[in-house]
Amino acid sequence: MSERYSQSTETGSITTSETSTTTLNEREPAPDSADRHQDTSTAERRDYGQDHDAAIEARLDEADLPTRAESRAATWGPDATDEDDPDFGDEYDSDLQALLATHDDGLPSRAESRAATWGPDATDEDNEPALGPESGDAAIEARLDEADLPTRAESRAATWGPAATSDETDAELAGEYDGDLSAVAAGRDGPAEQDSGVTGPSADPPASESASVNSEQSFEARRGTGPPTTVNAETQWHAEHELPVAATQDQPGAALHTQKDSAPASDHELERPGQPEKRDDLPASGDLALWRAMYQEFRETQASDTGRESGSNVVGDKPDRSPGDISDLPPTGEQLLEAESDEATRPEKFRNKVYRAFDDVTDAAKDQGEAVQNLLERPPPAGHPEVAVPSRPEIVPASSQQGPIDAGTMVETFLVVGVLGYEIARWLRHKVNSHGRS
Amino acid sequence: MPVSDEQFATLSAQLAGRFDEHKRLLDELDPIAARTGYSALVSAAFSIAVDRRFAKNGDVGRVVEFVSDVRARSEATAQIDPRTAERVILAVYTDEQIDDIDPRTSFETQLVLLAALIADAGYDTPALDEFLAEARQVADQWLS
Repeated sequence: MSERYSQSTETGSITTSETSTTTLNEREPAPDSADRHQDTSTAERRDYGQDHDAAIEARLDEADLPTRAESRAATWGPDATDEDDPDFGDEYDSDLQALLATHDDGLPSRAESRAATWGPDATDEDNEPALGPESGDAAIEARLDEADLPTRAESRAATWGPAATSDETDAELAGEYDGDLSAVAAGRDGPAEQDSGVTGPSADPPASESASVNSEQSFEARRGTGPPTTVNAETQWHAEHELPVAATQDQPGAALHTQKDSAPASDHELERPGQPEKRDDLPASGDLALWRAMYQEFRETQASDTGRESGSNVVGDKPDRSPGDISDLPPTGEQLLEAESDEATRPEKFRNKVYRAFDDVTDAAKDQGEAVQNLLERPPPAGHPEVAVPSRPEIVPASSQQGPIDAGTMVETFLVVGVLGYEIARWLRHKVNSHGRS
Repeated sequence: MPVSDEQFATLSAQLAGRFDEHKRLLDELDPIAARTGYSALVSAAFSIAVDRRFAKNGDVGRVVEFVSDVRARSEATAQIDPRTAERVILAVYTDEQIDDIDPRTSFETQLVLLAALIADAGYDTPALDEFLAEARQVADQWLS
């Protein structure tokens, strides 16, 4: 169902119908197949007369409509899961009549559906068709007179096969529109080119998902809150590929219908309940695989068309560089402020390196008081310090030794000679004395 | 806690050459408050003075020359470790890290070098007051 949401937001006029039907699908659980067989619609009585009642009741008792799981399996294969199905909870199997009774008019309005789906602040600006003054019941009735719409029975037969019957939901809705619809059905030649399998009235919310959407679209159409001739884009694609759009029912009378089969061109191709049934055979497993492959192809095509899911670049992007690369751009205001503050708070950086608190600060200041005083009292002299320039080369020739003997040299010489003479005399005296004793 | 007026007046008196007043004010300082306030004021003044003198053209050679000159001015200034003095100066405007230097040694070295920088700058009284006001502002930022 989420896929239908994404599709509906991109397909213009079908948005309202798609969105509203999804809301209805979530709000109003499809009744169980057994419940659908309990009542016969008063509208059906009006359409076909009281004579058909007994036959309808009999056929309902004999009918064995498929369950949701059976329909899913028939459509998507036995491995299909219900992960995309809305969780109706405990109310799913309850009577739809009781659920509808919770609303004053039976069905939520367009605004209610929009609010329930997109929140109370949702507006209709998302390609929701503006019906304007024609959205009123009278205008819708007038438009229905001009429209080439199938009857409810025609749509039901086209969707569910000729064996499809009506139930109490039809009775509920018939109270509002059935009379006019009968008139419309009586005045027309047959179903128009409109896809009755999609937009045709079908009061039974079917078990399969696509059928549920079809049924709920008919709710919108009958309420006048949606375009009466809504065309589903996916259905169009299926029509182009001749794919079946109606859900399958693995029971007699609920076989798969192709687009051609499900949209008969005239009344004589339709079979009303109570009439002889034309039942198609169940699709072969190969057909299911083919349809599944074609559906996947459709999804890929849709994704490539929109570019959203594939993440492709938009026009003007440069794929060879990152969008976050601003190296060739001038600095931003924040960068300029940071550069300015970096210059202004430069001393702030000194704190972590220069400033460290410690004890005995005053003692340390006292210890260095003398050094500080010496520095401040005797500042260095101004200018460059004096550099002594030698008046002569550092390397000088050796002085001549041939000059006259000076007085110092003489005194030194006499002193040396005197000391040597004294020592010699003392040595000689010592020798003489030693020889004299011997 | 920002720098107190007493702490500011103490350093101002010392750098202005009013040594008797400086000694008196230093004795009156709260040692607990001086642990952060006065040391921050001295370090801020030292950082600004070094930034003004060496930041624009502060190659290592000029720093070495300055430190050797300071140590040669008196016996008291010769007691500072030249390598420590050079690193403390370089730490202001380079990536030099001085975490391994004892905080007290760093403070004493900064105080001596600050006196030498102020003496070399030859500030008059208004210039010295402006310098000390800027130092107090920076110190207050550090302590905030």
